[in-house]
Amino acid sequence: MTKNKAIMIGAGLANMAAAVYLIQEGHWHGSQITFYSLDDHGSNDGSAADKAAEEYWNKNHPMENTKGFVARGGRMLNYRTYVDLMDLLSRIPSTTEPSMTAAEDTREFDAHHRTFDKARLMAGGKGILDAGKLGLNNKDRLKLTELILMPDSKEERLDNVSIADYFKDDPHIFQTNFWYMWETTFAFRTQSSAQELRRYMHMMIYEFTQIEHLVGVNRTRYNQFESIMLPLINYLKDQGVTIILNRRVTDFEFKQTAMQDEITVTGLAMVNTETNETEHVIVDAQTAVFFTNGSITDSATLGDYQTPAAENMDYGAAAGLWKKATAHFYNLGNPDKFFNDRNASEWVSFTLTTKNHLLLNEITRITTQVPGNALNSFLSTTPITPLGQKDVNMSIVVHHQPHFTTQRSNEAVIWGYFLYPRRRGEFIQKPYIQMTGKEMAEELIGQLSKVDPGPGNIMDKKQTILDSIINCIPVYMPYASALFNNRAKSDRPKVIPEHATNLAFTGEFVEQPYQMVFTEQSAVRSGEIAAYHFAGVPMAKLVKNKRYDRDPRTLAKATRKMFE
Amino acid sequence: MTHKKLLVAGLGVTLAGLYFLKSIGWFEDDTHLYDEYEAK
Repeated sequence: MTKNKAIMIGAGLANMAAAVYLIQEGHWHGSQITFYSLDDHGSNDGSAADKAAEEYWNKNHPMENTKGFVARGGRMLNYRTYVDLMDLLSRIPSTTEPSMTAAEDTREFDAHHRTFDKARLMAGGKGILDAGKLGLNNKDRLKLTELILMPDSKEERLDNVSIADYFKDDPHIFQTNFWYMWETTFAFRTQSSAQELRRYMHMMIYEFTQIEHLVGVNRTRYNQFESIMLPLINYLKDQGVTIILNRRVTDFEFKQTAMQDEITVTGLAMVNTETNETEHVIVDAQTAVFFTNGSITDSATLGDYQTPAAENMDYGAAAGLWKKATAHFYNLGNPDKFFNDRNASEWVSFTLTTKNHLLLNEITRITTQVPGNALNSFLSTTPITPLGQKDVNMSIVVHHQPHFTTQRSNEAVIWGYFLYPRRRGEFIQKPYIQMTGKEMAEELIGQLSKVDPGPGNIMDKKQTILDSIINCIPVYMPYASALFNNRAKSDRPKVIPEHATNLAFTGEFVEQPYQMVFTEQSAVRSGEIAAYHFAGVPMAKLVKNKRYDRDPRTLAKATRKMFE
Repeated sequence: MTHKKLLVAGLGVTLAGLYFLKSIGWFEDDTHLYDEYEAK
C-alpha cells in the first residue's frame, strides 16, 4: 500500500537507509519524512567519551573519567556481500573527504590499507598460531557440509536449534582454529542460532576460504559513526528530513477491527527524555511507520578507568515497544527470544585511549603487523568452557590510526571485547564484567606477555604503558549478540507483516530472505525493502545479491579449505 | 555393450549432478522472494 509520508521510529542505519531510498528512488521530498529516536546512531556509535557519557542509555551511570574515545562496537565490511550497503554509500557524500561519495571514501581508504591478518590467533607458549590450518576432522567437515548444502527452502529444519545443539555429537569442533576464528570474527556464541550460522556459512562461503587472513574484510576510514552515520545524517538534513532526538516511543495505537487482522497504526505515544513530558503523534492514512524493533546496544552502560560498567537490567527501549505491538497481533514475532536471555547474548567491550604509541608499538612488535584493522584473539592457557575445552579469552582490533577525526596524532585508540563476560581473567582474577578499565588493560598486557616473542617482555613495560593510558572504557552490552539468539523462523516479523497496511519492521530483528544479521548489509536491505514497498518502487529494483553459495567454484574452494 | 554402459554411466553422473545442484538450491529462484512486498 503506497503512502506519501513516513515516520521513522529509530534513527539507526536501517531507517536512515529507508529515508535515502524514499527520496532517491521514491522521489519523495525530505520534508515528508520525520524521525523520532533516542539517538542518531543506533549501534553505529563512536565519539569522544564525554559526549557518549551524556547519552540516554548511560544517563543513570555517570562516569568520573570522561576522557578519551569510545565506540561500543566496530564494523567490518565485505564489499563482495555488502552490496546494498555500498549502494547506499554511493548515493551520499562523504563527510570527511570532499568530492567523494561515502562509498568512494571507504574504497579509497581500504585500497591503501588492505587487511591481511598475520596474527589472527595467538596462544601462550606458541605465539602466533598457523590459523590457516583449520583443525577440522571428518565429523566436523560433515556437519559443516550439511549446513552448507542445506538450501534456503529447508532452513526451518533448524528452528530452535542452537549451535551447541547442532554440534552436540561433535564437541571437537569447538576446539578447532575454525571455531576460534568464526566465533570471534562474527561474535557467535554456542547458545546462538544454528539457523543463523547456516546463513553465515552460505553468505560468507567465499570468505570462509580465506578466513585466517581476513583478506575479505574492508574497513571505513574512520569509526562507523563518522564514516557511515554522519554522512547519512548530513545528507538527510540537507534534503529537509526532520530528525527529532531524545524521544522514546512508548506505545502504538492501532485501528480496532472486528477480527484484529488489519495492522494499521493510528497513533504513537512517546516521551521526551529531556523533559519527561509525554507527547502524542497522530498517524494519518497517508503515513507509513518504519519501526526498528530492536537494538543490540539498548541498555548498554559505560564504565571508566577506575569503574566497571554496571549491569543495566532494562528490557531494551526498542524491544519493549516491539513487545507491546505483539500483544495486539499474532504475527509480529517473539521479542523475548532475543531480549529475555542475556546469558545467550551479553558481552563486554572496551575502548582504550593512550597518550602515546608505546602500547601500539608493542602490539605491532608482538603481532608483527602494523595497525590496520586486523583482529587478534588470545587463546586461554587452560580449559575454560563447560565442555572442559580451551577457548578465546579476549580479542582486540588495532585500528588504523587515527580512528576518530578529533584524535590527536600522539594518541592511539584500541578496541577489544570479551565474548563471554562472566569468565574470569587469567591475570586479573575476576570476571571480565566486574573489571575496571585499568584491569582490562592489565589483562590485555598479560595476554600479550604470554605470546611475546621477545627479546624482553611487554610485562617489563607494564607500568609505563599504564601511565600512558588516558582512559579505558568498559562497555557492558546485555544484548550485543541478541540478534543471534536461538530462534524459529517465525520469531522475527517480516519486513512488511501480513495484514500490515502502514507498518514496516526494519533492522536486525526482522525476517528477510537469506540475509545474515549483525551486518550493515541486512540493516540497509530491510530499510530498502520497506521504502520500496511504501513508495511503490518495484522490488525488481532491489540491489542484486550474488549467491556465492551456489557457485560450484566457490564450493570447491571451500571444500578444499576444510581439509587444510 | 561398451557404448551402452558409457551412456548409462554418463546419464547416472548427470542425474547425480542435477540432484546435487537441486539439493543445494541451485535452481531456486530468488526473484520471487520479494513478491509479497510489491505495493498493491
